[in-house]
Amino acid sequence: MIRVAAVGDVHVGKDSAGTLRPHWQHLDERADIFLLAGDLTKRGLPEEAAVLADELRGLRLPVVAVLGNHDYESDREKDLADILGEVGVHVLEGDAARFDLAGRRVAVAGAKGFGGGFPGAMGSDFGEPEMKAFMRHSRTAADGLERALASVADADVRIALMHYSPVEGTLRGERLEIWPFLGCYFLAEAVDRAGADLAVHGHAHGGSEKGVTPGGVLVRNVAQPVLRRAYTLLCLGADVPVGAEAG
Amino acid sequence: MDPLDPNAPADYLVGHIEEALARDPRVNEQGLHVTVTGGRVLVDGTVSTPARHEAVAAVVAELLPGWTVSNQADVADYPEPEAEAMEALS
Repeated sequence: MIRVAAVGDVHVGKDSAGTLRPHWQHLDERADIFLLAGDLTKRGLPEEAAVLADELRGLRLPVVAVLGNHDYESDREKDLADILGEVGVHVLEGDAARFDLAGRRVAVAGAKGFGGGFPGAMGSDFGEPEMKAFMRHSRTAADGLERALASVADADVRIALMHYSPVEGTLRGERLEIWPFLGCYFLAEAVDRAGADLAVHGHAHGGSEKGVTPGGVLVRNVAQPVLRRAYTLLCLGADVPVGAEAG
Repeated sequence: MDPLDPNAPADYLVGHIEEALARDPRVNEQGLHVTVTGGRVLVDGTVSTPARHEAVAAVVAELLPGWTVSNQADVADYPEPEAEAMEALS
């Protein structure tokens, strides 16, 4: 059994110092790995990442993150990744991290993802350059996620971590009109093609917690306003071996 | 940010207030829901800290001086979770 703690959209600012660590400092007693699903900071400033780094410093379990749209606001996303990397956080974008946890080879593949929409209600890579750029960014992010998942195909457990939603199911509760800004089916297609045991995302504050890809991969929206908990704690493979084929 | 025209249609006021709450560095919250009616602005949703909660009212007051602001946003303060067993795969 792999115990996965996960939360997204913590939106850390300078006014957040000391508010998260009380929830996180004993995480290693409850979880094997901790996932952060983007929007780590309020406006993507290095000083905000430093506050988050202090909240995470010295945690005795692997911490894996992707960035979200807030983390790009100040064009300092590389600095954010470096600051978090200094306290051991694996910040992923189109790549994967591997761990040996509870005797299992566990891999997390991550990408921010992007909007674009879902079949029947989505943008197209067509027309004005701005529209093409929008959809191509979504495609690039999904392709990166697929490559990252494929690169760890030999792992016993694979988790896909992103900020934007791969499915409509976890957007239920959000106004339909904004779904194309909240996710894109390219991400679900990437997960289904490459394979994963679980997909985790944030971003949709007004959405729903549980969904599934068209190919049958379980999806969780861990945006903190959806969870209304400090984080969620998922015990993968509690009843049957993770990685078992569907029966 | 310049004050809004208080005589503009309510729909436009809502749009500009929501944009300001997303962009103002004191708040930066995209998920807040704004309602404008009868000289009153209601804000609902969740913000991450008490300081951002106070800033919501300040931003709206700067946009519509003299209007009543009902700041009904919650401040995130969440409990520890229970562990949840997941079926491994569908």
